[in-house]
Amino acid sequence: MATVIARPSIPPMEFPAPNELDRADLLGMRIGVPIRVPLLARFGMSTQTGVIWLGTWGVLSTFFFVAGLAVLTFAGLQQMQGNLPLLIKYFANVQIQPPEGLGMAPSLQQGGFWQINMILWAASVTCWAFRCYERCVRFSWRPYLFFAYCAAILLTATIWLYRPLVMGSWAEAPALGLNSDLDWAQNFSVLWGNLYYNPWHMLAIFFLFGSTMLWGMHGATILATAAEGSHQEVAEIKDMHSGSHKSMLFWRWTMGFNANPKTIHDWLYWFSVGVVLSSAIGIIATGPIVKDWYVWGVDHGWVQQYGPITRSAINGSPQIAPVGINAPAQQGVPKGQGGY
Amino acid sequence: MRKLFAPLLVAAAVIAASSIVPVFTGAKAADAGGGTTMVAPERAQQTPPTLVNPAQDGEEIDHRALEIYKGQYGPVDQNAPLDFSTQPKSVPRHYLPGQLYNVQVLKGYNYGQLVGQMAYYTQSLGVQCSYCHNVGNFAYDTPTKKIARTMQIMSNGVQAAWIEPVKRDYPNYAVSGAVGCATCHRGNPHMDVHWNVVPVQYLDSTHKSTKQAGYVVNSMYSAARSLGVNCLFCHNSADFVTLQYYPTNKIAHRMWAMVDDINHKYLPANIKAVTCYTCHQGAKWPAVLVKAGLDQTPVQAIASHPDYQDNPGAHIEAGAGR
Repeated sequence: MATVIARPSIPPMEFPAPNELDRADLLGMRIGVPIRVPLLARFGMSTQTGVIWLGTWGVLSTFFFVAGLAVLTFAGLQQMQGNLPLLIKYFANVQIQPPEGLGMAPSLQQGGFWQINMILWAASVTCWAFRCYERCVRFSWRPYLFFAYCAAILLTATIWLYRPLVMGSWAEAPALGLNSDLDWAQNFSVLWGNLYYNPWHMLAIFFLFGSTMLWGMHGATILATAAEGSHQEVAEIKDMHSGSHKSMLFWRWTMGFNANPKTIHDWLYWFSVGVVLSSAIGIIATGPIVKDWYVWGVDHGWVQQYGPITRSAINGSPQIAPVGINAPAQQGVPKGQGGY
Repeated sequence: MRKLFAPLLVAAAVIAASSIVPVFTGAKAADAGGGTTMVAPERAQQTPPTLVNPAQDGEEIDHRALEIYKGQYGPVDQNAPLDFSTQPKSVPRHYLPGQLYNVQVLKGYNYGQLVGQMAYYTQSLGVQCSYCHNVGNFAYDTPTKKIARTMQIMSNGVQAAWIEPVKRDYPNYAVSGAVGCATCHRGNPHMDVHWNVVPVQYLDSTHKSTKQAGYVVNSMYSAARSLGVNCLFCHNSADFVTLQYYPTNKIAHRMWAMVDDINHKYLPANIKAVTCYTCHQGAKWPAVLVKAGLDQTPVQAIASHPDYQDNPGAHIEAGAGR
């Protein structure tokens, strides 16, 4: 027996008057023409494409981005002796390596391409951040988008700029390339004593997994109640028996508490920003402050010492001696099972 | 707005064009100067002053040098005139039957033992006598013969200086057998370089950047694939740097130093051909070993084979070389 619930009458949303959007500062510099592409609706987008607002920062950012792409392309071409098919074949393996030390690179091949690219990258993302801020202000928004983008810039700048500056060598930064980023994560973890023991890395993973969980809950809830008009969150938020109201009831009855259609986005925002913020702290602390995260964990008594620490950690950090009950007996592993 | 974009694209193209100029000029210069250059086999410094891995920092392994190596030390030209002015005094112009001349490494061998060892060489490298000897004068020193002498010295030296101490200190990990020619050659006179590894100084260095640590990690992958194992064969994955207490780890460190020793002592400076794969070739223990006692060099082991007096090639037929 299906129970039919009569939909409540929802008052239409109040949109601003059309002439309010026609202000000159909003319409000012736009490029392109609106094109209707019905296929876009299949991919969850609006059908209209085109008309991009063109600002000074946007133009500059695009210019630096294109210039960086060009330099990257020709740096890769040079590694392949100008052989384009070879570059395409080994595209994932091409690396643009940073130079050793903090000075200017001796040549384009030994880090010059990397430095040019990093300058162009910094200029591009900075201009794009200004563009974000400028648009937010023009729309009379609070600049949350700008803050979030700055958080993302903070993490990348920590990896590519701040930490190499503190460590005194550009070679601490990842090379530019697809596989080289993954290689850097591996090398970084191995060299500085297993990043999994880095508490800030743990916190970043907590935020990352937490944000995916929140995104899953939020997205599933909205999709489930879309038939009841919950996509009109602002209009429904005050109404009883609306989709949004039932969503809040669902979670309160399921787990005892709930967010509301506004605060769920607070949760998501801070979890997402928390990923990059805690990652940046963990990265900048690795090396200048903590030489070896495993030894750090052993020092602080929350990681088991699996064996004698036979070699001093890199860069001469003070090490604990394998004494006391933590020092295991030195015994050989049976033949055929060595290391396992 | 197209008027605005056009100069930007032109500027980007100019930057790109200016950056590609050294690309082609550099490539042409390398092509012009590379093919005919003869690289002198000079000894490299034992301890490089700076941590720069030539194989990773822009200077790849010189494969042209390997080609030169092949050409210079290939089969002996039997028609070349013998130049006795360049030969040691032990090389005679006329022989007495049953006598051995110009034996410098395999001293103390009688005729039968020597022939057995030579048969082992040919079996291991898949060559004939004429690959090293001038068949008109077997005592004559040819380039390949000098290389063979160096290789025999290397084999004995590696066994005595590196393998035997490992067997003594880690008896649980030892296998019976010794390094012979076939351990690396396995029927081929030349070997290809499969992967390259960093010098052992990299492993001991306490001042590595993350970039240089990448060279070490890549070399570790090379070593792991050479032995058919993964990282945990030698490492405790909790901390790869400070937890290096497995016996396999310590053995691997000795082996790494051995590879460095071989490359520096016995090979020309421009050929750093020996890696883990050279001997291991995918196995934890090299599959081809000479069946020798722990107190014997391979040559002595072959000479002391029980069937040796009757049949000098018995150790080959019995599979000792495989």
